[in-house]
Formats: sequence, C-alpha cells, structure tokens
Amino acid sequence: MKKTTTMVIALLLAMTMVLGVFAGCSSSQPAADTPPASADAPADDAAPADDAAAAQSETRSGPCKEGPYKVGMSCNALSISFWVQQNQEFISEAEKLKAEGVISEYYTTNANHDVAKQISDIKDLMTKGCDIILIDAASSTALVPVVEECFEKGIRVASFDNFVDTENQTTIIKQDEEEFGRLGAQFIADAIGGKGKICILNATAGVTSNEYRRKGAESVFSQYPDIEILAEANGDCDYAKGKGIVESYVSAFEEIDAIWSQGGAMTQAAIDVFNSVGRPLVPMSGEGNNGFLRAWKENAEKGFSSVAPVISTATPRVALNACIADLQGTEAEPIIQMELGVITQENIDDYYDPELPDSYWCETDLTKEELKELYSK
Amino acid sequence: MKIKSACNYIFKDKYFQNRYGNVMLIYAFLLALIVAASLFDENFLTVGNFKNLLLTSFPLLMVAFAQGMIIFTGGIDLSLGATVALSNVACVLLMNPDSPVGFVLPIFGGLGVGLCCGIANGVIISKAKIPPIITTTATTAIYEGAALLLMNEPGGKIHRPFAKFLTGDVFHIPVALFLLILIFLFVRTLTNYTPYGKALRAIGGNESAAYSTGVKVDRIKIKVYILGSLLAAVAGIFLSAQMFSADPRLGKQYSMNAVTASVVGGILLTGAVGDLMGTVAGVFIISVINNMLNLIGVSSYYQFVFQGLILIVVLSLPAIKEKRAMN
Repeated sequence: MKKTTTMVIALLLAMTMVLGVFAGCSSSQPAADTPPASADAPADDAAPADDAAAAQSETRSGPCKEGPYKVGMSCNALSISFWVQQNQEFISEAEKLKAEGVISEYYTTNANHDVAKQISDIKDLMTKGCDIILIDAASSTALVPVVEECFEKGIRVASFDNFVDTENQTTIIKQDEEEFGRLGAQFIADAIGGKGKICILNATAGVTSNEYRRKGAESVFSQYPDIEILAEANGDCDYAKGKGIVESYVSAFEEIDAIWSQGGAMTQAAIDVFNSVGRPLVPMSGEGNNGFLRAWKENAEKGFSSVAPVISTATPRVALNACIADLQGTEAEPIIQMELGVITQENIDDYYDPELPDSYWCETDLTKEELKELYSK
Repeated sequence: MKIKSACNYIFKDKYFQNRYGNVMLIYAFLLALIVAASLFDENFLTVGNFKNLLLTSFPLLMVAFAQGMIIFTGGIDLSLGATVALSNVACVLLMNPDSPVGFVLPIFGGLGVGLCCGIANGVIISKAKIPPIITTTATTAIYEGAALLLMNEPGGKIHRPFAKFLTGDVFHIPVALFLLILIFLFVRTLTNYTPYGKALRAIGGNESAAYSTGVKVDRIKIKVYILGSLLAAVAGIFLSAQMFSADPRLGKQYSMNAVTASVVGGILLTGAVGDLMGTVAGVFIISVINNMLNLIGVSSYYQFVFQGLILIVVLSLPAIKEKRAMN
C-alpha cells in the first residue's frame, strides 16, 4: 500500500509538472505580463475613457469597473472550422486588447457539445473571477440559469451564434437566421418559377438556428402551393452526411428541380453527387464557406446558380467590445443585430479566396496572415 | 497508537486489500488530484467550487451507477443518455409552473418514461437474446427520435420553487448531496449485500453457470435494465431543475462518460467485478480533471488530450499494482 501511494504521488508530481508547462502554453497569461491598468487604452469599439468617466457608474448589467478585465469564452465545440475560426476571432481581439492593457487574462473552454460540461465550464470561469463571459451555447435554454446567475453577480455576459434565450444578459449578438432561410428559399422559388419538386437539407435537429432557418424557408415555400417538398433530412452541415443523403435523394426521385440547403458543405456534396451520377445541376442554395464557393465557381459554366447567405465569424469581437464598453459605463444594447451578408453570382469574387482552403468562412475580421496561420495548423 | 495499530490491522489485512485495494487506490488518486489542483489554483479549494462540482456531477453519477450495475451482468446500456434526454423532455412538458404541486406529475412522468425505456431494453436483451450493445444502440435512436418528436428545439418551463429546492441547500447542505447519499446507499447495498446483487455478478461471471444454478437470469437482467433507466430518469429530472428547461439533444455524452467513469472506478467491462464506491471516485476524477484544467487555464485545444492522458494514468494504476504484487 505504501509503495502504491508513493507511486501515485510520483505520478501526480510528474503530471503536475507537465500541466504546469501546458498551462504556460495556454491562452491565459498572468496579469504581471501585461501593462498596468489603463483607462486610457480602451478597445477600438469600446467607449473611450473620457466617455466612460462621463457615463453612468452602473448599467443594466451591474456596477461599472475599471480594467484590466479577465475574460472567458465558453465554446459549444471546436469540431467544425466555423467554430474554430470564430474562436480565433476571439483570441485575435483578446490579444489586441491585452496588448493595449484593457484585458489582463483571457481563457477559452470547449464543451464539445456537452451541455453539462458547458454549465460546469461557465461556473469555472465564474470561479476564476472573470469580469466578462462570452458564450456560444450548446443549448439555448439549458444555460439560462447559469447565465442568469452570472448576470446577477454583475458579470457581463454575452452570447452569440447559438445564443442563450434570456434577457438577463448584457447583450445578444444576433444574425438573422430566419432571413438566412428566407433568402435561400426565395432564390429557389424564383429560379424554378414558383413551381417544382424540391429536396431539403437541414442542419442539426434540435438546434435553434436549424429551426429558425427552416421557419424562414417555410414562410416563403408556403406562398407557393405548386412547390412540392419531396423529402427533407438532417445532414448536420457535414459534407459526408450531406453526400449520403443526396445520394439517396437522387436514387429515390427521378425529378428534383432544386435543393434548399442550410449548409455550404452539404450543398457542395449535392453538387458532387449530381455531377457523379451525370444529372444536370439544378438550383441549390448554399452558405458562405470557401469550399462551396469553389464548387459554385467551378460549375458556373454548366449553368449552376446559387445564393449563399453568409454568417460572420466575427461575433465574439462584437460581443467582447460591447461588454467592455458596458463595464466602462456605456450601456450595451440588449440585442445587437449584425447584418447578414449575401453572396450572389455578381459578388462571389469578393468573398471566394483561392489561396485559402475549403474550410475557410468568408465573412471574417481576421487578416489574411492570421487566416493563413490558422489554416496551416 | 491504538488508531495506528487499528489502521495497520485494517490496511494490511489481505481480505481488505483484495476487496478494497483498487478502490482505495482510486480514492488516493482522486485525493492527489485534488491536492495538485489546489496547489495550482486557490479558487479550487472553496465551498462554492465543490458545490459546483457536486451539482454538475450529479446526473453523471446517476447514469454511472446505472451503467455500473448493468456492466456487472456483462452487459452495457448505450441508451442511458437518450433516456436522460427523453425523461428530461417528458418531465418539462408535463410541468405546471403555476400550480403549487405542478412538479409531482412531471416527476412520475419522467420516471414512467425511464420505466418504459428500461422494460423495452431488458425484454429485448433477455427474451429476444439480442446483444445489449446492438439493442441499446437501436433503442438510442428510438429514444432520441422520440425526444425530438416531443420537443423539436430546446425550451419549456419548469416549476421554479421545485427547481430551486432540488438544486439548493437545506441546513447549508446541498439537497443533491442528500439525494446522492440515499441513492448510493441503496444501489451499493443492492449490488454488494443482497442475493440480487450476487445474482447480478453471477450472471456477469458466467451466465450459463448462473442459469444452471437456478438464477432467474432473464428476470434479473430485465430488472437491472429497468433500474438503470430509472436512475437515468432521475438524472433527466435533476437536469430539468438545473437548466429550468428541457433539451432533446441533452444526453448524448452521458452513456460513454458513464462507461468511462465505471472503468476508472475499477469496474471490469467483462462483468461481475467492481464496486460502485469506486464509481463515485471515477465520476469525480472526470469532473475534477475538467474543473482543474479550466481553473489552471490550460488551452481548450489541449484539454481533451490531458483528460485522456490522466485517464490512462488512472486506468493503468491497478495493472501496475498487480504487476508489482506478482513480482
């Protein structure tokens, strides 16, 4: 027993040393590394110090506070390139603000789609003493209690992408998911003259953005009684899953006039399936990621047409700056609506970047160098 | 001196070492992990942090107890996570936030869902003789689909006083702790000190031999799947109180996390061997690792690598101990 205990202690010591090294490699840095607190060095979009002084000492979210601030970002997952790029936007903005002395430390956590883990992650960020917590939620409702707990304690909380469904947070960064669905559906309806047989590729069942996009599309399709929906399935915005679904569609239905899709990778898969079975391409709606845009451009000669609403990955930057401004006395809007980009045949070259891989998302505030570094990893 | 000699008597006793040696080792590891975490971050050793750990670990503890009991029979239930989600959805849909007793029907509703899921799993596995891994993979799809049919996106309302009671304190002690102790005492007594528990392990050791000695294999297996699903339903009900809502996609991670916790806690996947006392440590090791890595500030990209490495270390401890004993 004694030997075993010695063995456990030895293992733990070794582990502790390794952890120490990796903790040093992590995104967080000790406050001592940063310049001293300075109200004169706010973020670009944050309220200037003079304004902060003139502004109220308390906002809807709680008492104001001088920096530097501790910031945490709780990610739903980092399993697809959109979330990785979104996380990189946060890191990029946090590094910039840290160099300016507005932020002292920042942390990111990854729940890997596990709601219980995300609740625990957010509580850990609270325990760490974060002044600001940014959230891309694994569940829009399950995180409500923990977000409200943060808000009651005066922590500035903002959610985006899959946002938390409560008013008791500093701000919600929204991009109109219903409009996303409407745009694609209207394009399809116009392209087939309001009449025809269509198939649908949904994102992930049970996810709020999936339901909003589908609702937006339905509001258009319901106006066209001659549009018949042959089938719909959840492809989870994944190329492989989308390909499997479209393969079954083309086997089952001799006539498909259009495909309405919620994800660029799934539309890219649909194009590949139609080409591989030798069917003429039909109008398909897409999404603003580089892989789909490449497939669109390559097939434009064959008469392929599409429209691609584009969700920005820069939402954490907006959320972070709104929370900092709120802490400095400039109250954040409860909802910040970001404009939804739309890629059409006319402006596709403004978005498509042949130097970046298929997994790159085209609406971003990251520089070309940052993107190249991110996608070279 | 008396205490020291008593400790020596207990810890050096061969029977004690054989029976509890691995469990003690796992608890020693958990303790060492807690010490390491508290050295790294002063926020770790706080009452608030331990309460958070308990509340976030509670649902996994329930599912891990369920999985542990099923593994004793040599089986596995991959549908426990989906049962958590389905009972969570059923509980919230039945909730009447405006009535003072609006939480009673949802509790029975959630448990009823668990009961049905358990009966379905148990009957298919024991009567149709379809292997547990195949049966429960299929029923996972059914239960997940049913949860999505009932509620196609997260939502619903909960009886707030009930939720606050379940996740709150009584005499400064979390209600979840009382519940945990009660349920733990029940399942551990059942699996360690009753004829039913012995029969579970006998089936896990050698099903044919157990049958030939008169053990009612089918009935015992059906009961263990029912009990397992009921525990998953308790997790689902607790989660509805913790989240003030339901989420049909909630349970995906629980089944496999529960298998991990059981194995970390010393339960052999081949069946028969193990102790649910180790499972408690297994769940807390997983939770403490996650908590510790967050508090230390290890980058999210490295966290899963570390979790894996630490789990490999803890899983290899009993093997190292056995090898040393043989030498």
